[in-house]
Formats: sequence, structure tokens, C-alpha cells
Amino acid sequence: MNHLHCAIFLRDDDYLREIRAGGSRADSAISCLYLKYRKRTLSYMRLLISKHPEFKGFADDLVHDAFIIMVNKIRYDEAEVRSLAGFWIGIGKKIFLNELKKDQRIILVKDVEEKYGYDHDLHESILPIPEENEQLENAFLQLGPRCREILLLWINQYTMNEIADKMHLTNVAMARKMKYECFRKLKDFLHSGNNKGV
Amino acid sequence: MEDQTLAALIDQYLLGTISPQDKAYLEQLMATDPSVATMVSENQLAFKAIQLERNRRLKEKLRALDEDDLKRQGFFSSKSGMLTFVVVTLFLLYYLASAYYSIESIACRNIESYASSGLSIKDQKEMESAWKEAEEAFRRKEYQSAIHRYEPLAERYDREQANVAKWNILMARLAIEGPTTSWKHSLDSFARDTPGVLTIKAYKLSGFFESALGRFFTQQFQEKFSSIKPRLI
Repeated sequence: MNHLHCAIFLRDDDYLREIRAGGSRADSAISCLYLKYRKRTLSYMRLLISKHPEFKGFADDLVHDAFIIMVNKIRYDEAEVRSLAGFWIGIGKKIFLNELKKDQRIILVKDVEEKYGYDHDLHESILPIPEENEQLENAFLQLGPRCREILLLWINQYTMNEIADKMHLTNVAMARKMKYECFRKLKDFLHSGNNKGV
Repeated sequence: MEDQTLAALIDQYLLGTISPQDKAYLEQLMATDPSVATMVSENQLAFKAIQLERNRRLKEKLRALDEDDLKRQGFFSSKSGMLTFVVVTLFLLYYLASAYYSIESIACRNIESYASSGLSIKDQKEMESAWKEAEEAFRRKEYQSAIHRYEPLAERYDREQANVAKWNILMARLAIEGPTTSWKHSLDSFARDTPGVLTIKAYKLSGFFESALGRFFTQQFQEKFSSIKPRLI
């Protein structure tokens, strides 16, 4: 992996702005944001998990899942964020408590003293539901590699110009048409459960 | 409404880039026209499929960043690694400093060489050879022999040469006995009685042995280890 050159003096507002801008700016900001607060979040998660030895080794996954949810929240929600590290830790804590609740290993006691900037319940749509997700993943994997790439670029808010450039397409109209076709095929696969490749 | 415009509106709705007015309009359409509602829900499902793949790829990227970060930090990332580095560095520094401030090393650094001044050529050659022999004995760490060779030179009428020889005898004594009280007395009386550059050197040396650094590396070090050293050997 190429070494990232992240400006250390960037503030949380800068990361929020870059991630919301989408495209390559967001890609770079996401990596830098992750590296900036990773250690702090990981050590907090380890501390949290240390009280529950049955979850040993879960801290890395917890940090990753919480980060992905945070990025999606930043992208699609206009919620005010005071501290990104706090936001990230808050989501991680919420996921962990949900896991504990699911396992029914403990009776949760509300932790009133600590506030991390994320007090909402996690919506079901952002937490994985394995069976349903498998079906969706399989449908996506039926698409050809170029289609998959175009749709991923589109969802990451790359402009049609950038997509045309990255995919070596002749013009924007071509990129738009290809994206439309790929999306339609994905819907067809989801609808009919067709197993044919594109 | 044209299909293309509706599709563009739904795209914006899914990506979260739709304006509040357009959002309200689309939601109204969904409420009044079931075909639009179905279209939106199908698109939402497809969008979720792409989101899942994006999340999976992002997770892979995060793992790669972790590995990359770990590789770059390597040995020093762990607490034990950093502690080992600090301990080894401190030990090395202590070892180098104790070698630099050892009594023998201080004595060797401070001896003075012969400097000819106003002598006949014959005398000069004799002197030169006597000084050379004495200095060689000193360098070979035969300090007692060096003292024997410097003693006649210290009795000479040339005061400057005599003072240098006396100074070198003091250094040889330092190498043999260390900065003992009697040696310090000798150094102090030398500093009092001798004019010139050697006085400054004498005061500097005396000051060093009185300093915390000097005491640490000479007196304390010797006292602490003198009982252990023979047993270790």
C-alpha cells in the first residue's frame, strides 16, 4: 500500500467537509481520519472489551465496523458532530453493547457519566443482517468487474466526468449510460435471482 | 414526468444529495403513485447491495492500513520494544560515558607533550629522547616507569619543562591511585605554585572531580564496584 501523506493539522471540520464532498477527496480523507484516531479508539475498545474476556480479539473488528458506520453517517446524515473521535468511540460502544445484549451475557447498566457525541440507537439498516446481506452480495457479485467498479465509483460520489476518466470511457454520456445499464442489471438480478453473469 | 428526470431524482435521493424541495416532491410522488414507490424501493435495495460491497472493500482497506502502520512502526510500536530500546540506549550511553570518564582515560587525555625551547641542539636531542621514552611508557600504561622517567626531567633548570614533567607525573599518579585526597592536595599545590596554562588545566581537573558528574564516575563508581569487581573477575 502506498504511504499516505496526511496533514496532521487538519481539524474535524475539514474531514467532515472532505468526506461529504465525495470522490477522491473523500477517499483520501477517510484514510487519514482513520489513521489519526485509530490508536485512541482501539485502546478505548480494548479497555471496554477487557471486562468481557469472551470478546477477546474483537476490538479490531469493532473499530472497523464503527468506523464504517461513522463514515456512512457523515455521508448521509446531516447530524452535528462535535468530535469525530468521540463519535467513532460512541458508535463502537453502541455496537458492543448491542452484541452483549444479543448474547444476553449481561444486564446492561446505563453508563451515564460518559458522553461520546453519539446517543442515537443504531438503525437496523446499518447493522449487518447476515442472511439478507448474503443475497444482496451475491447479486452484486454477478455483475462484471467493470460494472462493479462503475457502481462503486458512483456510490462513492465520483462525478460522471471522473468516472469516465477512471474507466477510460469516451465521454460523460457514455459513463452515465453504462452506470444506468449496470444499475438496471443489478436490479434485475435482485428481482429475478438470475445467476447468469454480465 | 420523464423517466430520465425521475431516475436522476431517485439517484440523488439515494446518494443523499437531493434538495429538500425535490425530496418533498419525490415523497409526494411515492405516496400518490405506487409505481414510483416500487421503483424507489427497488433502487434502494440495489443501492444497499452496492453499499455492502463498498463497506466490505473499506474494511479491507482499513486492515491494509493497520498492517501498513504496523510495518512502518515495527519493533518500536510495542511497549516492550520501546522499553528495550530505551534500556539498551541508556546502557550504551552509560558504558561510553564510563569509558570516557575512567581515571586512566582522563589521565591519558591530559598528559602534556615535550615542547623545545631555547636549548642547544645536543641538549635538545637528549631531552627529546627522554621525553619520548617517558611518554611511550605512559601510553603503554606503565605508569610507575613513566614516573621514574619524568622525575629527572622535573628537576631541570628549565622551569617550563620541569612544570610539564611535574604535571605528567601527577597524571601518572592519577592513573595509578585515582583521585585520592593526597593526590588532590598535590594537584592543588601544583595549581597554586605553577603559573600559566597548566594552572587552568589543574583547576579544571580539580573542578571536575568535585562536580557531581566527576564524583559519579570516579569515587562512587569505584566504591560501588570495587568490592564486586574482584569477585566477577
